[in-house]
Amino acid sequence: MLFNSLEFAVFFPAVCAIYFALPYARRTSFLLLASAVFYMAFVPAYILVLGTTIGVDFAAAKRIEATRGGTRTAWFAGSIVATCLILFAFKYYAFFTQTFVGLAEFAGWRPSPPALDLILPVGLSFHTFQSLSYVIEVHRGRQRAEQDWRIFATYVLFFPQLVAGPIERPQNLLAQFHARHDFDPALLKSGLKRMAWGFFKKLVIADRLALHVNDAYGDPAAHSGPQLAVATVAFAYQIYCDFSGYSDIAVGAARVLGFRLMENFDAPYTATSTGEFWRRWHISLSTWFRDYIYVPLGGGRDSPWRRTRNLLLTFALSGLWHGAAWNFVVWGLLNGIYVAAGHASRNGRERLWQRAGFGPEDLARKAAGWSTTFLLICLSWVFFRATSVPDALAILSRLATGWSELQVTTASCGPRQLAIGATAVLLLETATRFNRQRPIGPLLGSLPLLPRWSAYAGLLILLTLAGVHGGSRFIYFQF
Amino acid sequence: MPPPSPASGRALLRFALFLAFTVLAALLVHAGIRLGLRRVETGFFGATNRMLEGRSAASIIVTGSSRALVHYDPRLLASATGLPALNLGRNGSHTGLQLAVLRTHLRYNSAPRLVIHNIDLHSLATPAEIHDPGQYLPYLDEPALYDEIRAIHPSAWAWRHLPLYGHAVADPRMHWIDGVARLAGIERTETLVDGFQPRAWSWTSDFERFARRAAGGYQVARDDRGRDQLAALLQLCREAGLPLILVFSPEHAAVRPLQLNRAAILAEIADLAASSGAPFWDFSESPLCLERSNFYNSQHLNADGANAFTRELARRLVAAGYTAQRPTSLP
Repeated sequence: MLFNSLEFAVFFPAVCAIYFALPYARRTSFLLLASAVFYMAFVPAYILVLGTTIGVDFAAAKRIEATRGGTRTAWFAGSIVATCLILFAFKYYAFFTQTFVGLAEFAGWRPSPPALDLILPVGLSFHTFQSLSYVIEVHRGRQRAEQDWRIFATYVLFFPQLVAGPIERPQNLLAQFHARHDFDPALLKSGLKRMAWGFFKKLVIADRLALHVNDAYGDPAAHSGPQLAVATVAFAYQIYCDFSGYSDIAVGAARVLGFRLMENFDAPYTATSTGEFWRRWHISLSTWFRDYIYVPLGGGRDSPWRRTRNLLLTFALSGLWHGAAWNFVVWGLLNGIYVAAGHASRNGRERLWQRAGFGPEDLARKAAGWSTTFLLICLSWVFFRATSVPDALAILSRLATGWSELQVTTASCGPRQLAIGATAVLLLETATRFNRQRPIGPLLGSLPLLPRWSAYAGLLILLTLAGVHGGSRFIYFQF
Repeated sequence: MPPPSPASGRALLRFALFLAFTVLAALLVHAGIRLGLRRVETGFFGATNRMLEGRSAASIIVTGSSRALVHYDPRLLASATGLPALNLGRNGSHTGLQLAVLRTHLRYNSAPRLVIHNIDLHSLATPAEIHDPGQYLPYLDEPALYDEIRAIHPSAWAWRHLPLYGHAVADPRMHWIDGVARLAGIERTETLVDGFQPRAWSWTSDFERFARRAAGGYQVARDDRGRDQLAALLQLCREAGLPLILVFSPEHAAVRPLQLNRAAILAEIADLAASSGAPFWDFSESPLCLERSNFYNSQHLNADGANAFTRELARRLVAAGYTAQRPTSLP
């Protein structure tokens, strides 16, 4: 079920009403049922895939906690392998067999591995990683194994964050299923406001800019450099608003029910370095890779060379997590190179800035850092959005063409559409910065009733009129 | 069950009141947008508004899709025949919707002396979607338009009855802004001349891209409902005593080899016309079809091509006797 669907507009209030009307003892079971219904709205049979992951990791975690030595390690390894095998079968099998066949044909051999032809279950990578983090934390002794299967199943299936995160750690979310959540008008209000902000990002910005991006990236040969450049910047905001909009809706919906989810974004396009960007973007995944891949590999502890190797490996895996295709691997590696190069050049850059007389807080230095970071991230998004590496390279080469005619609009995204999208992006960035200095929520809340309600109603009407309500999927659902 | 606290009850009541307030505000905005769009004087809204106000005093009306819209210059038709003319072509419209536009025109305006209905090769097909449905939103209380739109989009009832819903889901071009602008006294520049939209464009690469995709040719869609709609249009004119000519206006000759069932489609249309007693003028063999400079893509004449075509058509109309008592000559 999509958040931006009429079904969800009926589902969510009904779930909230029933949830708070039920006795405490029945609420978790009800949330589990509601989450299963939410997930089965996509492809019902795939609930069995999730059920398998839940069953394996629930049983394994209990055994990991109860045993020691080799048995414990065997349960841990078995659980990790089983969970990853499911992910591999559905997401990576075709990619690896195609790569293998390509290499084998290069060597003159023509193998024909069987095709599985499986459709990727929505959000598989998200709930797989959430379930994995639980098993790892139990194995590390930082989390007690859950004894109630319904609570564990609800932790993995919790509908607000089921298909696109945030990827929660058990220490934060699992414990909340043991607590009582009473209906709280303040949480209702703040949760709904957060959801509305998420819908604004998704419907008004992401889906509006998608009109331009889909045209230009759908047929790059028919579009000029200016059109592709605008589409690339538009995609930077499309993916940000699509994904962070989903996270806002997830955080808001969970808040209405009394749950607190982690923040997944922190104004990433205000970053002045690529390292800072990755501390602000998809925080739940970045910290997952940091804690479970980068740090166990040795992180940045031993030598600059090992740090670079670990960074590249972690980012390449992060790319592969996003999609089973080489363009995602290149995207990940490119970002790894950015961050590694940032580390390696930090002292030299600092000396240069000091020699030029600019301190860390100087506006010119910040502007240079911000614009360089934004440009580098936009260039990497070309590989993310393109359908293949050759496609991405073709787009990059076309970026330099056609600047004599400054045509920036496309067939589906005329001047009016583009103006609305650009205005909404400006509004987003202004509101983000303003909100940091003076939170907008309390400011609106301090108004008298009629102007306050008029402002809220006006914003909802604007959201209705300026949004694109085609029921488009969130980009990250495919991962 | 945990008992609800009085504070919770008050909060829920307040929330319900806020929702009611928002719905009321949405109703007001919806009414304002509709009022604004119904007052627009330019473009398609202006043309439709004049039609609904009975301000179309045309003796020749042209109906059809974008090919009608950009091919027939009413000024030239009027000048040649002495009969005031009006173009009712609608971008991306199918025969059912063209019929609905004609019915709506006849409901509010005096009957014309001649109807020219432009034929496309897709005239016998029913599309899966209405093109740019936002342009019809202020007119959903017109029975003919509403019935046809609802036949294609069953959810059109919600566009009509739920405040702002139609603009949210069926107005991707955001025509509502024109309504708001009109209320503020802002009118867009006129792009139509008596409903005609000349496009002074040069040849684009649209056709080449299409030809690459359909290199082996394609079957032009047709279905029984589409055929019935064209038959209904013929019947409407016959029963109302309106002289009707079906015209297949020029398309670029290069597209013909790709249309595998072109002859069958045109023969079916010719049969329909013959059974109804309406002439079918096929301009496929016009010399205009051979010159790329007359078109901006394979289906659409540019402004120069439209000028040349309308003159050719006007001469034929005059020769066939479709004139006022004192016809004038072409400029």
